[in-house]
Amino acid sequence: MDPPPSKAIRLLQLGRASELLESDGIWMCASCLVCGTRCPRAVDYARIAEACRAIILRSRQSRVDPDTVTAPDLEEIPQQAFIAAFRKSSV
Amino acid sequence: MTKYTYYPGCTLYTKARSLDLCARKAAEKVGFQLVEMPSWNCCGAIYNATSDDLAAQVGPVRNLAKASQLGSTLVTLCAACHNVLKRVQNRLDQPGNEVESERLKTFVDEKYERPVKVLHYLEVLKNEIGWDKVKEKVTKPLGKLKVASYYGCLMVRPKEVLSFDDPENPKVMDDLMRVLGAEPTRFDFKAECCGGYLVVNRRDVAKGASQKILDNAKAWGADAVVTTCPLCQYNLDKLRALTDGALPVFYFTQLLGIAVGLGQDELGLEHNSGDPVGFLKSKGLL
Repeated sequence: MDPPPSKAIRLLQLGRASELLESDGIWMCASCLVCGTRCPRAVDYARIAEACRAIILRSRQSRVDPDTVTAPDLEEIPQQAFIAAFRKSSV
Repeated sequence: MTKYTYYPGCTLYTKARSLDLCARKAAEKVGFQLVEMPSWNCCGAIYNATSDDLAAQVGPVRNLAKASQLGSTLVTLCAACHNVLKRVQNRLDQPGNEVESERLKTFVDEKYERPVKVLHYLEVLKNEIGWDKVKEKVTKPLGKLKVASYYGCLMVRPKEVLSFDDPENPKVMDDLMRVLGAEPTRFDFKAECCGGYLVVNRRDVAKGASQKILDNAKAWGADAVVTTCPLCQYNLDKLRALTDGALPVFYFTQLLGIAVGLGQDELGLEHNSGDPVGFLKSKGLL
């Protein structure tokens, strides 16, 4: 994950939010909540990543295009994954 | 026989049929009945953490409202459904959140009659039935099979809301495996992320995360891995190369089914990759 949660928070502290918004890392966070569970300062990075994604999605830019899903994947992958991926990464 | 309102969710009706069928049949052997909620709808598949996007919560709110008309509990099996329904139920019933809760309720026609307790099937076994009663129903102990129980993220976090088990070292499934006669192994990656839905557009990420989980289970001497989520099951079982010595991955309900005496044709083993039948026969379990 680039940047990892620790580096992402530092970017925000330094006022470099645009770098985080342009990063791949915010899309790699699947909200597993491990980092927030371990954080001694109760930083909820999963929620921050969600906010970053929301900022981008609400400007009508999608990260995952449903049209790119292949027929074999559609046949095999559990549908909950598609619903989740589209909800998290497309408008 | 105690009856529970049951929410299967989309995947258990299709690609995770074996998780659902074994659970229903095993429940009746153990002494409770899952009664499917009529006209349920999509749970939303993943919890939306943005506080202003209330529309994303409407699906789960409607399910909870319908469940509230039938009783005060709702049993889930898929880890993703469980996570979403439990977190939305928390938003509806949490003291101090009345304004948002009322707003959410106005989105659906169905009246939310009472707070609904969202229970995972494992919680029913542990807290409602009890391990002693489950143990009494075991007709085919699992012969010291070494099992690594994989919980993933959605069953255990966020811990304040899920209040299911330890968020990093959960034990419920390990306890169940012991009750069924298996031997739970140490498993450092039991609550790490498998990559989840990233499999849709970043298969490499999900594959890498899942392989680490499987490698750790193997390193601790497991014979098999058990899961409780169709997506974890898919990522662990289907993304890897099936080389010699690859660990079989089962739904926990499949091993529960074997232990309480379901027949081979009731286990849905045709959905597991590799040679699950050969493996179980080699362990004297079929």
